[in-house]
Amino acid sequence: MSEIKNVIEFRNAVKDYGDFRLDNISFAVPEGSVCGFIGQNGAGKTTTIAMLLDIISRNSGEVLLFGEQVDGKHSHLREDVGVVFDEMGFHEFLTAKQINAILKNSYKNWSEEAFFDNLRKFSLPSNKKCGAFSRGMRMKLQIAAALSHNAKLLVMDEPTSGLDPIVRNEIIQIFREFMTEEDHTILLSSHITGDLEKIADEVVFIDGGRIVLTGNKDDILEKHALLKCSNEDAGKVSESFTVFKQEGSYGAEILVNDADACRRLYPGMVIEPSTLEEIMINYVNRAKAGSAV
Amino acid sequence: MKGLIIKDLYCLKKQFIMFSFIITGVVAVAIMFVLSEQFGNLRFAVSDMKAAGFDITSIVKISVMFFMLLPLVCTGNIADSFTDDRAASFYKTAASLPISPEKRVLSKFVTAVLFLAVGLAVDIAMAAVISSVSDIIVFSKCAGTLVSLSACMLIFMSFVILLNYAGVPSMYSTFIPVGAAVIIILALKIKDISAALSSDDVSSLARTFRELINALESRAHIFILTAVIIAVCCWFASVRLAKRKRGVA
Repeated sequence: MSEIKNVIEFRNAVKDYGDFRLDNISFAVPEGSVCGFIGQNGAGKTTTIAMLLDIISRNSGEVLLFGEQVDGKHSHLREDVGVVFDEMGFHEFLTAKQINAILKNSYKNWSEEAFFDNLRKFSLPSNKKCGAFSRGMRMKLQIAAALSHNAKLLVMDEPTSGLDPIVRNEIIQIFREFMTEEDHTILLSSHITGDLEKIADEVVFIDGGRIVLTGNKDDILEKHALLKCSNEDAGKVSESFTVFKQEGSYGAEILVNDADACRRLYPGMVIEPSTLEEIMINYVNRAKAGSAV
Repeated sequence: MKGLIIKDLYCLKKQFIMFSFIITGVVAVAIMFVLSEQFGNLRFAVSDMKAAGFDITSIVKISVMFFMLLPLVCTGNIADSFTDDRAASFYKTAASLPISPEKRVLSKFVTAVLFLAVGLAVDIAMAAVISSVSDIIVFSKCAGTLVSLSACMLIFMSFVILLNYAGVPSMYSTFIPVGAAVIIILALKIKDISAALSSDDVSSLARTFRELINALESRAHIFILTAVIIAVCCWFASVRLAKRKRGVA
């Protein structure tokens, strides 16, 4: 059996800005997977991606892309990486045709045919200045560019934020098509967890510059659950299972981190599956409250 | 790297209208100058002033020098490409391309040189036309002056690029080298300037100007060599800064 290759690997990576610190970031994204990188605004997602793309240097630790160190010396690695940022990144006076001329002369594997095919597929005009594009069109333009140089890895920073559900769905569909090749990988950062639930295989959850949770999405969703009970019963639930407890006048809602154990130990209590969003919110609330598991 | 140069050319293409306007203006003034020098008032003014013992040749040369500087200054506005890059957050896109920081920085210098070459070509053509119909300027000397001025512009642009990589806002990055040059020149010639201001004795100042013009005319090779050395140093320093900051376009 062939060994699973990691396309991205962070090993205790640290970036210290003084007022914000990415603290010992460690996670890996296996080849052929879609990794959802979740966290609230300001959690450190963009900084982590910037470190991966070598846009910023790190203070310590290691970052590996396709097994090679990201250290400012291996720019050729980016031949295989398609990048989509939360903002367009191209000058507003440029047309898609001009962007093609720029990128054609930047990527060895650039395919004009693929780029113009993508433009047609996404209904983007090639002669219109991209400053006149809507946010959805700007995102699609970036995706069209990212998909036109045979990239094996797509790195996307909040590509669906600020977009309406129809366009978001279209974009998710594009990602699905990209993933039909088995050596293709996606790292998708978003705080819209609904999108990630549709497409992600792996999830990395970051909060306050620290990785809070990482692993297979289905395992994470299976392990976590929302336990609903009276405020009195809430006291009976072991602290070791409790991620965050919210008590109200109608009862308590507890996010637990071992749903199976809770079902066995508390058969009388209602235990419902939780969503990624609920998991994210409860972990963030726990961090804010300063409580320990 | 070629892609980034094309991008910079698209950025600077925006200035095409202003550039065309200045070139048209310079050509129009050149025609008026030649006609006036051949048949009009300038011809009489020159002969009268020569008769009165004025150093009219130097005055005309200085005028022509400033006049010829316009296309070079116009095409040397590399700071605009940094302003555009920052406005579009292009530095992130550039950093995501498979292009090393060395080549990213080099692309800015190549763009600067390409644009400077356009301004120089326009100026040389004008000098050829003016010198062919007028005795006031000699083509070889004028060409020497233009090449020297282009070298000075390359020095200016190299510092603008360096300052932009150092994170200085584009607007200030243009003023800082000019301000520094003015301060250095004033400091070196403070004696002549104060003598001219205190005793109306402009002879030393006039001599300085003549020396400057002579140097520009006849020592273009020294200006070019200096410009190349400074440009290479600025490139090295810019690469170091770009590597340290990584994402700078």
